[in-house]
Amino acid sequence: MLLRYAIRRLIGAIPTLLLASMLVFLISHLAPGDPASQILGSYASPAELEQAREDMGLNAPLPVQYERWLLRAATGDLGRSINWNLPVSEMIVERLPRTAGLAVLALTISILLGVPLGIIAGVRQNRLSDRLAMLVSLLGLSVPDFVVGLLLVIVFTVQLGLLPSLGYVSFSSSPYQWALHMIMPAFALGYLMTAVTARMTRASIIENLGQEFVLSARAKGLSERRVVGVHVLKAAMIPVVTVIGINLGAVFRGAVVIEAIFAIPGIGGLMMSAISARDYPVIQGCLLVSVTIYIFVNLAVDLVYAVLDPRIRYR
Amino acid sequence: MTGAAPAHTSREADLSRDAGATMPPATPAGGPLLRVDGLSKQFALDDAVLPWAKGRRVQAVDNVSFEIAPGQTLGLVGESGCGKSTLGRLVLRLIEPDAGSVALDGMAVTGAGKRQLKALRRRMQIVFQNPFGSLNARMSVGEAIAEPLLAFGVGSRTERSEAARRLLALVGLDPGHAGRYPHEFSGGQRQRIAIARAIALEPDLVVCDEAVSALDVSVQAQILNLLKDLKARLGMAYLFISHDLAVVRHVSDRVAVMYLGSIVEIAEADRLFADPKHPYTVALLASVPAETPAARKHAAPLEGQVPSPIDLPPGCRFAGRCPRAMPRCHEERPALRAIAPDHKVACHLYA
Repeated sequence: MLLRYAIRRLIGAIPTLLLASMLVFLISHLAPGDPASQILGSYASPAELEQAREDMGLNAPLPVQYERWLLRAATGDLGRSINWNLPVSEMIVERLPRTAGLAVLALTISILLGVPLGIIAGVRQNRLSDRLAMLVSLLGLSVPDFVVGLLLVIVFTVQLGLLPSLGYVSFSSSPYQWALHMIMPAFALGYLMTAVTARMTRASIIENLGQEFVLSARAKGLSERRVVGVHVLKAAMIPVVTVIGINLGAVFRGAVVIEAIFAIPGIGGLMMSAISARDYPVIQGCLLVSVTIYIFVNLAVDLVYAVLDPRIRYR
Repeated sequence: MTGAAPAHTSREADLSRDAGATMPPATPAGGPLLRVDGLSKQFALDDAVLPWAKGRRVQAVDNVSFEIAPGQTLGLVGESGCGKSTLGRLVLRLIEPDAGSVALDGMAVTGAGKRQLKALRRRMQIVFQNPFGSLNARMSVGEAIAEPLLAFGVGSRTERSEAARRLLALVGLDPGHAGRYPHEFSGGQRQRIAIARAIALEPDLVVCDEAVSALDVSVQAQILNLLKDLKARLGMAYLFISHDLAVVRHVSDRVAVMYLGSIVEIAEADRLFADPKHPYTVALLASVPAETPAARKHAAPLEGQVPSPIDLPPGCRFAGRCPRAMPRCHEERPALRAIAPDHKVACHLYA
């Protein structure tokens, strides 16, 4: 049942992906600026520019360019970087694990902190612990992630000298060093998501505590622990799971800034350099990859709904 | 309804004992099963935003006392908003009273510690009005019915799921549906599930809070007969809360009439319906639609509004609408007094 639904949704994701790829393609092509002049510099003659455009296929009509790009992308060939003269797919494959590691760590931190914080705040509504939890999350919502990152560096590197301030060590070479380098960027990135998750969990817990089935659960003689832990929590998790899925989008956005601060050579940093170099193939490749990941994560979220709520029936 | 359940120690004993017999006393003879004394509850209407502002309060239940004997059904009637449901929840201590006491079989419910309260919960259960809200949508009905057993560590896992199936059969549902979820059942079926859940622990007292009000009339009759049937088999007592007089008359041994948080009349059911004393009870009974035009009673309909429970008038709360009000009624609140054995009225007419 669920498997059939998953397959159907995967097939259904194809038009979404096509549309997204079209947007990705158009955005970078409709933007002003020309990669040919970017490569040749401002002293190139019009004839040289024309020749370069012809060589790069930039003179073909947009739909034709799109078709060529898409067919190649479908086989894993995202073209060559104009700026670095490397295959885009290779560049992405090299950097994606770093950003993915950062994203997963940040998301994990946000769930491990945000959900318990939200539960405590929701169960102890308007009490001191609730106020404290909400203060912490309000800070997370209002302080930009790069400020959090810089503050962390000031405290843990400059003052305490506990953590390296920047750089990256791959997980395969040393998991310990990897964690040491990743913990601050991941926390800076995860703090906002922690705040969002905590507030959503709190609101959802409070809403469900007011439901009649909670009263029945108490009347059954269940312990408050079971009432909250089993009855309320499962019901309260659906909006939280939604938010966690949406948060993943925020991770890719935030990674652009955080990777720059902590000098992590990931997708975010690549995207930033590619944008300033008007390196179309790289921009398109990065966007396409992150959009694809986003679509699949939210598909997974939809599948989790069915596990959490038997009323959601998929066909 | 359904036949006796298959082998299970205590329930089987109960079922065979009750088969065809009248109600057995569930508690030692003598004292009442439930004793409610001077129960009161106020709700804060609005949070005072400014620290010096005083929030308005609603008197939902005001100094209510009554008793229920083992195996007896007390009907509790009154119009919506009179505090019936609050009273039901106070009895089970699902909400905390401001004053007064509740005792089940001589053991204090109010003021009981966590452990004592849990032990008492085993003996008193509730069926809520809304079978769509009172069942957890994320739990199969088998799990929901077995959960009270789990809470008290009754039986093994398989014994509990077996018990759930037996209870489903007892309330007239297919035991094979234990794995289904609440949304796969109709309203009447869900209410049967809620009842199965409530009787899983073989409680001495079940509070039925508008248990049939959300159902259509044909289903109502089924559920009422089921409740009567279960009472005969298991010897439970009911506090049957309803705004529907016909329903209350059908199930009750005794009836209490509530108006604005207080009991105005309480009597043996047949007596109350045949010879109501309190003017409010009289008006309430006259408002029941007659079966034939000839049987129509020509009592004057009540005039005016129920006074706001936030700003209660002094004296009798019914005085403003009472066709027989005297000057005294507006000044002095009548106490609930016995005018005959097992018939109490709170009215100056009978003082």
